[in-house]
Amino acid sequence: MSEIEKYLLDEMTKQEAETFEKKLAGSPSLQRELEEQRQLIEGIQSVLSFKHRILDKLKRKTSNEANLSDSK
Amino acid sequence: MGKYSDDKRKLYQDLTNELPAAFQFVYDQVYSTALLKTSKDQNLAHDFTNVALIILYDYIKSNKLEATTEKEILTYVKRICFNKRIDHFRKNKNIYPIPIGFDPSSESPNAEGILIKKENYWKIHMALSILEKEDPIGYRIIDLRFFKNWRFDEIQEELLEHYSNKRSVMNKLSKVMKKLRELLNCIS
Repeated sequence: MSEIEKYLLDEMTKQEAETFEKKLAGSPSLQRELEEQRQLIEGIQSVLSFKHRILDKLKRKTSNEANLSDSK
Repeated sequence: MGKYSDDKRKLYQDLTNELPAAFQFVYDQVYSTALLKTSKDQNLAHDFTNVALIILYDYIKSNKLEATTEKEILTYVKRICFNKRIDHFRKNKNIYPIPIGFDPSSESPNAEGILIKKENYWKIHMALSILEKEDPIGYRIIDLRFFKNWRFDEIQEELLEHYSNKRSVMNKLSKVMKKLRELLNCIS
């Protein structure tokens, strides 16, 4: 796992994070890469959240209809 | 609707009932950018609408609700989408006013960055769908880590038969992220 991923996923110790942040401050290319990966993670979170919200709602509806059908 | 059978009519009615949740999400996202009435906004709303349609269609197929064809469902749902979109803009014109003197091109790089990022959601959805089919375990890790916010040791316990330690799960996630980036480049 890369340093960027560890940093974004909060898998660094405090000391590792501080060292990485110093390295980050002096490297525009690293900053760009970090921002790209951060955006990808945020995008994944939003898409999954959207998908789960819709699927949960649809599953509840299907389940309710099945219960109603059974009770008849 | 006269040409549709009763079964199809019921399915369409069910879809109509579920669509507001999807549309609420679409408009929340669009308006949260505070960039209104630009062509980018329209494309963004269109992208989110398409994601909602695909999710709904996948659900219909996976639950064997195949009472009709893909074309018929999409034609009908798209018509509802279009009408609801127009209604929403009409009703909410005063709730979401455009800031006076607002010019998207002169806005801060951050605001523009957010918009660009959100336009990628459609691509991300496509990439995740491909991943889910090609690498179900990788997709499961993504879902547990990024949607449920599980820690890596919790994921490893859940997937004990596949991974013996936390580090192997982390390495797998790293590979999956690389695969997603490659897929996104292919979708571009």
